[in-house]
Amino acid sequence: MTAEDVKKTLEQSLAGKIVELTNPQPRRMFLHVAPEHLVEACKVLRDQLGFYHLTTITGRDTGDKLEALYHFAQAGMVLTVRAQTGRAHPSLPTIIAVYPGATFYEREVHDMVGIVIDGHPDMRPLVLPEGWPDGIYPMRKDWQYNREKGVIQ
Amino acid sequence: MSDTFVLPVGPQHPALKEPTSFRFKVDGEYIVDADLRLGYNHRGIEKGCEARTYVQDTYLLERVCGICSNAHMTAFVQGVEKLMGIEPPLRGLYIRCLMGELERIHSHLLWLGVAGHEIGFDTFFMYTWRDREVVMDLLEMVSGNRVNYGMQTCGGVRRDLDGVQITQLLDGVAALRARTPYYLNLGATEPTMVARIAGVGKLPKEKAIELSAVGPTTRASGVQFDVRSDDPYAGFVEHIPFTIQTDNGCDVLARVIVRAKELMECYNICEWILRNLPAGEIRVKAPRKVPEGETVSRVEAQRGELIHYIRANGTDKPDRVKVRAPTLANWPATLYMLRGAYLADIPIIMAAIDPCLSCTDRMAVISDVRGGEKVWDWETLRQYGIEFHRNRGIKP
Amino acid sequence: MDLFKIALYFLVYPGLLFLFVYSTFVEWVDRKLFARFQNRRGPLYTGAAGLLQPIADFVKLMAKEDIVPDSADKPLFNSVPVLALAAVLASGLLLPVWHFTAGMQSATSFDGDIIVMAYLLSLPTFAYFLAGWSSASMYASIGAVRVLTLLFSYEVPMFLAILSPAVLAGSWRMAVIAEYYQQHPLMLLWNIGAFAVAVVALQAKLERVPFDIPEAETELVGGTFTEYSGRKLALFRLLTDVQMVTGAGFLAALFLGGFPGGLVPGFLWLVVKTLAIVFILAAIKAVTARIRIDQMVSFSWSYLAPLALLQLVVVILVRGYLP
Repeated sequence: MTAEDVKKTLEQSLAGKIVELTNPQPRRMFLHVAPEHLVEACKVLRDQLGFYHLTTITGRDTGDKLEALYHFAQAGMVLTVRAQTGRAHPSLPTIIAVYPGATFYEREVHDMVGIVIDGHPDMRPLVLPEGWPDGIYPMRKDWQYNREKGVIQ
Repeated sequence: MSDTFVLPVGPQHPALKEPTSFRFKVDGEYIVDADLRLGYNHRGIEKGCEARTYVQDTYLLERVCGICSNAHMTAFVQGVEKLMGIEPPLRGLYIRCLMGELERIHSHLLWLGVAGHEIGFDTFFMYTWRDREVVMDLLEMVSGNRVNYGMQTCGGVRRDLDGVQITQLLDGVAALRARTPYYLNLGATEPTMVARIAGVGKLPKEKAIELSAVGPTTRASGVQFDVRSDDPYAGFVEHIPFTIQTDNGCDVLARVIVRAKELMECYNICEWILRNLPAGEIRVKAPRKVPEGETVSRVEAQRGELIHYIRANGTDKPDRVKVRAPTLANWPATLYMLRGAYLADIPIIMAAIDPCLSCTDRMAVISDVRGGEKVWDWETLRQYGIEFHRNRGIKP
Repeated sequence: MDLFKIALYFLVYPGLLFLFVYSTFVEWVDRKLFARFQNRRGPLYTGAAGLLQPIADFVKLMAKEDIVPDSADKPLFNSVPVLALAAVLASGLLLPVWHFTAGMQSATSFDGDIIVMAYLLSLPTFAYFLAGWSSASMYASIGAVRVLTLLFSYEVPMFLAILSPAVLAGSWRMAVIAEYYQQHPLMLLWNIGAFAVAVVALQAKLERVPFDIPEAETELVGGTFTEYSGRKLALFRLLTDVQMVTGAGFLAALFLGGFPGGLVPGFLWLVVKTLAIVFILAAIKAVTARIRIDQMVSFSWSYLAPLALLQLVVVILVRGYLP
């Protein structure tokens, strides 16, 4: 499936819901949708376009917003779906109904960037240590690691 | 023994070569449920990347993992190359590919041995690890290091091959090619080994796709998924001939077979590269600063698809680097395979995805069967350790 | 003089001293063979060709800190290694090695001593179970359950197998059985099936690959011995070695014609025959993978036990029709 085909199908199935669709490098596409259309976009990708594989979810701090990048793959194409959410109450819907393999990625995004995944059955920390304080997310740009000074006695 | 109890495997356990933590609910010899906790080895590399330049990041990312160091380095540099809009010369690409395949050979031989060890077949372990030394020596000869080769750089590779090295590489690969069929034969026919791996850890094709499994795990379930052909890089497909190795067994035996077949395919690729190595430069000069943009770079590491997402902001430091190692993608599938399995099959099912864990610290203290478990954080544990030794008259 | 002889018998040969020294030697042979099968070198540095390595390991373990878990059943936990070691050492005294004549009965050679021997060799298995059960660790508990399951699967074939040479020789006393085969060496060939079963069952009794299911390292950490450390672990290791010697000696006395010729030739026969059996055990260990407990049970009940029974029928027929 070429980039043109993907583009055509997406514009038909998600008419009016696409914020931005780019193809910056060969075999790489970026699709920006609003959070409420995320699950619908995932369904289109899986059922109509054959993106059977969810590669991973990247959480990112853009400065004024938080975004999650869902990387989907099939033979010859990687399509990244971008969904942004405000910093005040960051939340995105879960996609595990469409891609069950997303469970750990969603938990990781919640750990590292602090986007709450609505509808996820298990939001316990996955990679952060046990004594980690609530509401502190290490991959946000405003978080800095300050090492306590060790004293050798 | 009628009701279930929780059996902890990890963070420290002989079946695990690296720290992770499983909690198995077991009923006698059967596993009822499995849960996973990661993060024992989280070193904050992604955050660290944002504070370093692209050149520094190349070597930082190489240290994500000892076994697939070259795969991480390759993924990062080819992503950055894409953003910079430079193309490495063909000779550089071929050597990049050669390093990847040599690393795959060493990793697969390592895995075969570990799989043997997990099911108590130590002789298999000793044989494969002896042969692994051959490829380790080759890697050392080419790069100067046994792990963390430091071969890749933005714009090509850092070391060239000379005629003597090519001859030695061909000899080494030929020696390995002669021995590998024996392992394939042994893994597929030795009765006690087959009894332990055939029909164990079933992962049907639909489940493999649904749970987004990667690498030999998914290929052993009959899925034609290999980044080297799906998303060609480092000269694959256009120049270097290569076929995907799959098997329809869906069990651990199929994963052994797929890996053994991939070894043979690696020898083919290595020999083809060494015989057809074009003359010319090995790298082009890369700028220090990277123009604004974002890209996804994928590499077929030994354990499966490795992805780096890189976002550049026009300076000499990246804005965001995301690394997804293949093992994380395989955990959901592993939990699926473990449910309902025998207790004795835990090590081999876990080993079958070739787990490689890179992720901060936390401790679990198992006090006893009756009292359940306590989970301690690092500070409590440290205090406990100091008190423990003080009570015994040892100055902390 | 008799008292001196008895003391010598108990303390030197084939008693304590011999069993300790010889079992470390057998462990060395086993390790060396296993290593050579795997293209390794094995122990090299302690003593000539690493001969003192097992003793060095034993001494080192004896000096290590001895930790007892808080929730363990302490009296049982502490006494089990000693009792089990005593049982196997006692089984060593029953080996028909020294100045025994078939006519004379004594405290260490009597009618029915093969039953006592088999019983003494089974005691360590129960000790393993109690050790695992009393240490109150999940790994050890599972290991303990596996010990018992394993016991039920190999013990019956083992007993059936040792019956066959006894039936053929028409005696329940090891010295008499051995003497019978020394006079009729060809009769040994009738017992080959039983010998095979007994060797496999011995491998299972010693919990070695492919039957090291109760202490499967990658599954159960240390199995029944997970909570043991220091001296007690050293005793368990010594126990396993001594059990290997007496087990091999037991099979040699029953299936290989015993140890004829008095003190010195008898000693040489003992070394040669036990080492031959250790060689077989090491080879089995080197060429197999650990099987699962359910596979072990089905293997022993569908192959080992029927083979042993068939062998018994053959022996009874031979006994009935031969002069």
